[in-house]
Amino acid sequence: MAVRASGADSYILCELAGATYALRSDDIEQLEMVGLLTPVPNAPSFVDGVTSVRGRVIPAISLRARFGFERVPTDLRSRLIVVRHDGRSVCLIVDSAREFATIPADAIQPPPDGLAEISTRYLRGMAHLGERLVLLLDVAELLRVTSTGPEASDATALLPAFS
Amino acid sequence: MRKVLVVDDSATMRRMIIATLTSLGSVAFEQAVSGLEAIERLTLSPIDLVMLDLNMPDMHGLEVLRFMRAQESLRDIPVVILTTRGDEESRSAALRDGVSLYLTKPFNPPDLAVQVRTLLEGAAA
Amino acid sequence: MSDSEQFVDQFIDDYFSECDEHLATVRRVLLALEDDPSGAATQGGMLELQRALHTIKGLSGMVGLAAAEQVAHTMEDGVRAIGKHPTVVRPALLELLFAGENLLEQAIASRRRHGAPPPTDAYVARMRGAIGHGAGFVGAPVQHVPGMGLALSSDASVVSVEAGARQRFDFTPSAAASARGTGVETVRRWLLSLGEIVEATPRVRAEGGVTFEFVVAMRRGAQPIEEWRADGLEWADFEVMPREAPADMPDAARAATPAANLVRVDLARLDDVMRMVGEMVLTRSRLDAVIERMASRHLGEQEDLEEANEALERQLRNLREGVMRIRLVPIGEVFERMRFAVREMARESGAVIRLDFEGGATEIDKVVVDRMLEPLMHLVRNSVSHGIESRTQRLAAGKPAEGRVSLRARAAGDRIMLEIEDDGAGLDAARVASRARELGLMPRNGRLDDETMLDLVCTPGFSTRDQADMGSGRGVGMSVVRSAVRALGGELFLQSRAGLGACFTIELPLTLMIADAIIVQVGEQVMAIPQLSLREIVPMEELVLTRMENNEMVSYRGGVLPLVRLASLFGFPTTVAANRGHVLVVGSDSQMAGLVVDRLQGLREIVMHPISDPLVTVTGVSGATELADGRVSLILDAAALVRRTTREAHGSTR
Repeated sequence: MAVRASGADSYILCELAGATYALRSDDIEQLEMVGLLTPVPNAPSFVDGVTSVRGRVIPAISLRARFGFERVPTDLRSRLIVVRHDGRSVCLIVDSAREFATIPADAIQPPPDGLAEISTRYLRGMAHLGERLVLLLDVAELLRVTSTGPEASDATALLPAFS
Repeated sequence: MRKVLVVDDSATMRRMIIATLTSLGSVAFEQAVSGLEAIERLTLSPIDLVMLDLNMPDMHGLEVLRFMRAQESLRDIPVVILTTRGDEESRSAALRDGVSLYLTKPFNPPDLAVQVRTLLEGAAA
Repeated sequence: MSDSEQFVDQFIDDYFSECDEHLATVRRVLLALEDDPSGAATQGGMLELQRALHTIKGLSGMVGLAAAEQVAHTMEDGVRAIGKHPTVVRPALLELLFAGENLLEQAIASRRRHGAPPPTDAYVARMRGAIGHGAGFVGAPVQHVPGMGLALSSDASVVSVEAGARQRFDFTPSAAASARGTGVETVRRWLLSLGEIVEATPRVRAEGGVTFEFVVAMRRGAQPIEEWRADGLEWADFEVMPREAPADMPDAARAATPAANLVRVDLARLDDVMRMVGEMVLTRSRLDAVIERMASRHLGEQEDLEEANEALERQLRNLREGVMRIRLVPIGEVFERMRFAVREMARESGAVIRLDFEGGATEIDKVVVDRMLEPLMHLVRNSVSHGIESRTQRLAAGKPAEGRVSLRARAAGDRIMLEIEDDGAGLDAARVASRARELGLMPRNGRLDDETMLDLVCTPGFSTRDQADMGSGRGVGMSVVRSAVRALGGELFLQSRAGLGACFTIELPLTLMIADAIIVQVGEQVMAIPQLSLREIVPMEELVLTRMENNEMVSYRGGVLPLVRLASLFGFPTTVAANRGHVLVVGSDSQMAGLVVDRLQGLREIVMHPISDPLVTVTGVSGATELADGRVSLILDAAALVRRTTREAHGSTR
């Protein structure tokens, strides 16, 4: 990924189980209230289902479940963050998302090894914003599909590109 | 608002040229996909500048240029020939026939914009 | 990303699609050149070829794809050399031009994949060498600026002109005609439908304005249409001069004549329109619900509203069909590509293959066409490299030495059938059987009918050849062919006759996106199933349930129907007793299944969205739709559920 000439990217900050995470604005298509989700049978456990976002039907990932936290019911503060990566659009469900921040590239440090709560594989790095510690999420890793059968991968490779 | 006629048989190329010249602001565009259509557009509406491709079906760009230069009403319209590399042998013919600028593709968008602006301003003065 | 990269990125899709068009022209003209050794009939084609290459060169330069720019440039030189020295250099140059087209495709594809472009230096050197062999051609100045007023001044086009009558047409453009969309380009296309334009000259009129003078070499029997006069085209009445040699255009050239009033539409924009239509369908169904609620309160103007609502429904249906028709393109273009592939393969193997087409004008959804290119290519290659026997074998079997591959397309209701048939040896049942035994896939009864054979060869990793040869080693395997067909809601069939040949049939939906569907309830979930895939709906109470090991079945029309309880299959808690609910009978005559649902909610028109994200691709679910309450419902994939059921039923009886 190219770093901006200014050396700083803009991010959207979201809250999850008491910690602050950041997603690069460039990876984000839009923010939505959490609407109705339709469960999809036999999908990975961290997928809460599919939902319709502006005429497209896309999967919604519970970030809490993805990180191994306990699921909580969504409320008015919960948000769907629609991220786009590698031609796919996927919703991430977070506890809240209200702030924007610019994080200079040189303020980003590698993720600490012994971070207690979540596996560092989902992190691109971390940064301090004033007093707060912000964890930068790696969208590619969040969306990675861990297991698909050969038939499924064949079929998806050849599905028409409607979206 | 100045009006630029973009003549090229490739739709993608016309889009690229228009996108480039849109940066000049306050420019409107007409398009033609062939030499014949270029002449038609020129006779139907006032044009301030022509971006002209050479290799086109049924009427070559140089013929369009010669036709324009032979007409009282079209003689003074600046013509920029923008042709694909490899047609260099047409350059001297084009210069003889009074082309304002002879450029080759691939073009550099910012450079092209600057050169066309100069021509448009010159024509307005 | 730099500014120039950003500039290029903006146009890269335009670049790909325009190059596709020009490459199709290049292939068509090259094939015509090959079929016409004299070259006289294809002079117009040569100019077209040159222009297509020239445009590819220019565009490739703009997007910074030097490999394609260089190859196109080299090919242009080769085309000019053919024009100069028709007999001396022709066969070698033509071969190089075919190779060049291939290289151009590769170069452009490399950009699509963001990969490294193929090396081109060797190709350029070979072409230079071949051109050099044309006596005296080395270093000759390239002169291709046609003279004033006569653009098509090549000798050969004059020859073909001699053969037909010339007719002059004058067109005077006017603002009024222009506003109606009739301009000199429209006129040019009209005239191209009559013959070949040999002269096109603008003349300034004394009273101001311009008149275009066209001289057309008329094809025999061609007549201008009187209505054209209303748009400013004039011609003197004329007699068609009787001549011996008709100046008929070759087929390829006629195919190239652009139909009048064609507009190119970006598929993505069309999808946007379709999405909007989909949203309107949705809004209308909300309106339905409101009207229904009003009805219960006996409000006065409700009838008018109902009427308007019904009209809206009709109009929406028409609009939807209109948009879907725009997406249809003739399959013939894909067939043409097969001709090219077969030619290459035949050249590599030395076989003599005749390729027949039927129904090239059959129209099919653009997306479907694009997705079917690779699978069709694979099936055709299979026919050529595995199906058609060697010349000696054919003669020994009393067949003509020339092998035949036929491509057929036809529409049957809302389905499209594509057939790929060869007159080769048929599938080698003994080989398939031995491989099936090796993999432990041989059915117990040992019978290898067409359906079983197809299932076997479509099993990933199944190949009856010990080593992949050039022909079928590239591209996709049979399992991917079938997945691709099924991903589009289609099915693949096989008919193989030992010693006589094989025929693969691909059955596809004509259009996608919208369907009438039965809305059902499975546990607490609302799901949809396209009405077209339903044979019948039977209440559970009317059926007699039998249990066999873990399978439930009912007797149905003299046979046995295996049941699938969707709630338990999907892991939803069911809301009705085991002997309640409804059975949706789906499948073909030979393979049927009954899908058990809790409740029926009715028939609805739904907008189908494919679910393509790998996180949520699930067997038995083909897509999703949004119902009136805004909630997404999953669409059941009847074909996949039947396959799954039959497979399980087989598994348990073995």
